[in-house]
Amino acid sequence: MSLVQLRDLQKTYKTGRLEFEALKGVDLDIEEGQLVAIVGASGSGKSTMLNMITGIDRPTRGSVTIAGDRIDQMKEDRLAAWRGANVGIVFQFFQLFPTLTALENVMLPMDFLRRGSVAERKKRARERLELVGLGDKVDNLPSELSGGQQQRVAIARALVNEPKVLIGDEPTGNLDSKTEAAMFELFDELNKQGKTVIYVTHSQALAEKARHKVELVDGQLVRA
Amino acid sequence: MSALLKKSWKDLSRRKARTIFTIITVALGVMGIGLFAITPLADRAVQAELRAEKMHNIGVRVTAVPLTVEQLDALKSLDNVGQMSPQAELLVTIEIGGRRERALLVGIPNYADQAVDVVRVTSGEVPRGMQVLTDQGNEANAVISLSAGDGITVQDPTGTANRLLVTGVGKNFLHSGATRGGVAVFYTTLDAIEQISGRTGFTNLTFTLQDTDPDAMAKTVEVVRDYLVANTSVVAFDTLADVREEGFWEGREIFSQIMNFMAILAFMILFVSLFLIANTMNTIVSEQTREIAMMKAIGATRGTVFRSFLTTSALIGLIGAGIGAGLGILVASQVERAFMDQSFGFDAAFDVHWPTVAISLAVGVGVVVLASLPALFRTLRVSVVAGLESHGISSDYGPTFLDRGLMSIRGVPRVVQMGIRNASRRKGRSISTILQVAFAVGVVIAMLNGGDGLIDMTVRAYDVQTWDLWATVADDPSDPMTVDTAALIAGVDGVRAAEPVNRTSAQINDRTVPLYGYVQDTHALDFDKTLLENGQGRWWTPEEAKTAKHVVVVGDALSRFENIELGDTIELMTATGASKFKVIGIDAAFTENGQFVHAPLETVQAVLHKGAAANGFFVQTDSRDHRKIDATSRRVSDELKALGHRADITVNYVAAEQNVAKNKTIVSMFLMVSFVVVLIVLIGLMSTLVMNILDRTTEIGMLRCIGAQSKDVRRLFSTEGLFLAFLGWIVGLPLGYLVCQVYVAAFAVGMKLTMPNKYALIYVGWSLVFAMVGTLIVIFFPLRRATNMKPGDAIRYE
Repeated sequence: MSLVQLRDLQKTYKTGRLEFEALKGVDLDIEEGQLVAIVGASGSGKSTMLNMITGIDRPTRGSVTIAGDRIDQMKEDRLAAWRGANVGIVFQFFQLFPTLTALENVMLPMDFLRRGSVAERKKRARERLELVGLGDKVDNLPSELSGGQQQRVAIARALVNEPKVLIGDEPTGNLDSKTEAAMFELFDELNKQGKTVIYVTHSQALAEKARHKVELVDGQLVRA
Repeated sequence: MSALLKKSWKDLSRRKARTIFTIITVALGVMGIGLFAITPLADRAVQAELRAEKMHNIGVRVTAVPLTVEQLDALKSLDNVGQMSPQAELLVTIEIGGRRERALLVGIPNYADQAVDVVRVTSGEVPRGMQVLTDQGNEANAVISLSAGDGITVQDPTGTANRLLVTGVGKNFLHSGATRGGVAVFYTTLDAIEQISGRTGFTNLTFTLQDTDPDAMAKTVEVVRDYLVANTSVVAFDTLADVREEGFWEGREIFSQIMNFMAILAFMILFVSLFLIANTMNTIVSEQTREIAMMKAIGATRGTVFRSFLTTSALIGLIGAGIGAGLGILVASQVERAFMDQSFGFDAAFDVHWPTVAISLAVGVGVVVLASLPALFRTLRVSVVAGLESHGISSDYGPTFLDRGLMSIRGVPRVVQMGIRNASRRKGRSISTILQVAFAVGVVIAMLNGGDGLIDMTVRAYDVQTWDLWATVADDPSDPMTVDTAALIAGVDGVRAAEPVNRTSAQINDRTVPLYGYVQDTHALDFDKTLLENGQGRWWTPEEAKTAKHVVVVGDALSRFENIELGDTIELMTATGASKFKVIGIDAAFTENGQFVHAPLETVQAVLHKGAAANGFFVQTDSRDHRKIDATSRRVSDELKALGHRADITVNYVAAEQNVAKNKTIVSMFLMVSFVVVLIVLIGLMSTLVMNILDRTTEIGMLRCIGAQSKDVRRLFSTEGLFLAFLGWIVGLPLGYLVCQVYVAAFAVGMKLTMPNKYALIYVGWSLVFAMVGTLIVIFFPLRRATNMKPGDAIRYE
């Protein structure tokens, strides 16, 4: 069975009297260990599809099965715990918690899952920060880090619970080209180590680097 | 509607709950200002009544004096007299349906020709012969319920029962007041009074004057006294003349005090709402940083942006003030009408005090705009670049000493750590929340301690009085007791000692105070502590008493009000005129609010021309047991009755309990103020937390994205709320002490009383419990909102 399995996925947003169909019956399978780029024009439904895979949004119709779990049927708290354990998400705007240091930000997903002792969590978070090249910034607050550094903390945070899949929503959208390249290298390296990586991007260059490409046009899959 | 105005309006409807909270708070504050209308409305209603009843300017009470037509005409022709009316009053006991009640009969010579203090017939017929009108206050104050056709029975001095038929209902502003004291009032004829009392003549002479200047009125009192003493059987007035300034009415002062109390409440509400409004506007501006930047990017000047947000705040002010002013009109009128109905027994018409309405509206809008100014000026500082680039979770935390300090708190769960640190992210908002909580804690602590101080003073006021019973003759000068009666009372079973006392009213400058005539070796007053230890001077000597020396001991508060010092000679105006006294003692007792004069019994008797008469006896019983005191009270009453006196017995422990209960009512009002302040603060706290949650919606989404469950989100925000409340409590403790000092100082200035300075630790503990529990209660709904938020919606939230 595929790691990610989307069936007849449909999502309609309602804003006042307006309705917008972001996904129009999408079927998609992503196998474990793949490096997948989701591309498409603005409003094509890329981020919506990503939100379905991470379970941060629910489909209007259809099913989302990740590693055998029907996440569209899970209750909110169970889904949150599932997400913390199975999915690591990296956002365009980093979304670090400003009152926590880099180390504390990375420890947070483990705190929520109550994984190991505090000392173990600290050790593991430190390892992840070293992995993304920020071993010397563990006690820095987000306000004391550059954009690229903040994004690397976000990646360390996404990886800390050993998720089955790493997901990036325009992960380099707010970075310069040099940092973007370094970031992709990190994704590529993680993928080579066996991690499934899925990301949405506007960047043609970044899309071309993926080993699989999924393209959406007006909420429909045109290439998978 | 211009696009800009539309935007301002839409900004309010974007966060409906927050807008409603803010508007409710403003409306409550403005409604509070509307309460200022109650006093002028009440005054207006009463003045209309006084005009209709032709209220007297001066009234004198005399022992029943028959006056001829010529004498009445002469009184009407005295210098400065406008109109004059005589009345005859008689205090009686009536029987009705097996019950016995105290009653005041007021005899009116001619109902069709009343020039002063008119008794109005509200229903039924004018009484003739042995007929009466029942005062409408009898039923309103639950004294007696009677209607036309009913009857009451009154015993005359010979023991004969007189049946009086009720012909209808009457009212009189002054006399109706007696019904509030539990005395039934009936209006009847002079014939009925004569038949029941066996005496003829008038007891009340009331006058309206041409010149109502205080000096002119005082002079007219003397002229009336001189005429009566020279031409009738009158030796002296029975009591001080009742001199009324134009527009004065009983209860106006206490009513104004209650209203001032309400005004304090209103200002407290407004003060607290300032924080809430400031918070709201700050949040609106924060939320719209990108929009402000966008407006500037497409050509809006700083002034345009400023005006847009000014319009938003003015709209909040207008809507809140409008609702508040409307509520204020309704509440003020309802309170005033209820007060008039309950206190004076008349239906005041619905009335609006427009100046107060105008002031409420102006203050309401003004306060909102003023509180919004810091937020409005923030809009000027929003830079286009920074504003447009603001996305996602802001990372502006960490540069300050406080942020670093909070980061050093360790050893607690991560979300608790985050909650504590979050408290310093919006510093302005947090400070205002802390101040609000501190204000509430301070007010609660001060009110509780102040209440304790007040009750303590009341208890101490009665502690100094060592009598158990005070028997006073009915207010009838024809029924005097002599000092010899004391020996007879002392022989009653259960009585340990009895001593005569004369209590009357005296005036010093414009202040009316009770003047007590005590025997020199009194057992009724324990002045060791209040006079000899904490006061100044001494008690009078047996020699001074024997020779009726004009020496007095005055209350400490009175001495401060009138600048009296030990050794001074003061002039006291009594029913018989002015007399001079030497001050030999200043007593620190709280009795009569510290405003009393004590003098030798013999001196008071001489001044009042009373011979050896006394108008009361202090009795000490031989038991502390309340049931035994009650039994002795009944026996003393029976003994006095057997001696032919209509006596009232005041039981000290009952009076003390009643007074404490009355003051507890005042304390309850204090606590009510605290409660309202706490309520507003809790609304403010809830609003702050709602705003914090709205501000951090993206963060909540992100927390959910990385595995946070509802309980984690709940714990994070409740930690933040509790932490702010705790800090508020800490700040509130010294604030409470300060407010206590203000309270004590206010007592010292307003009442000239040194209130016990209290700061009970128990209230410190309770205030912490209330602050924490209150916070947990008010954050329930914001927390539910936070935990119910779907991560997708939260992350998309802008």
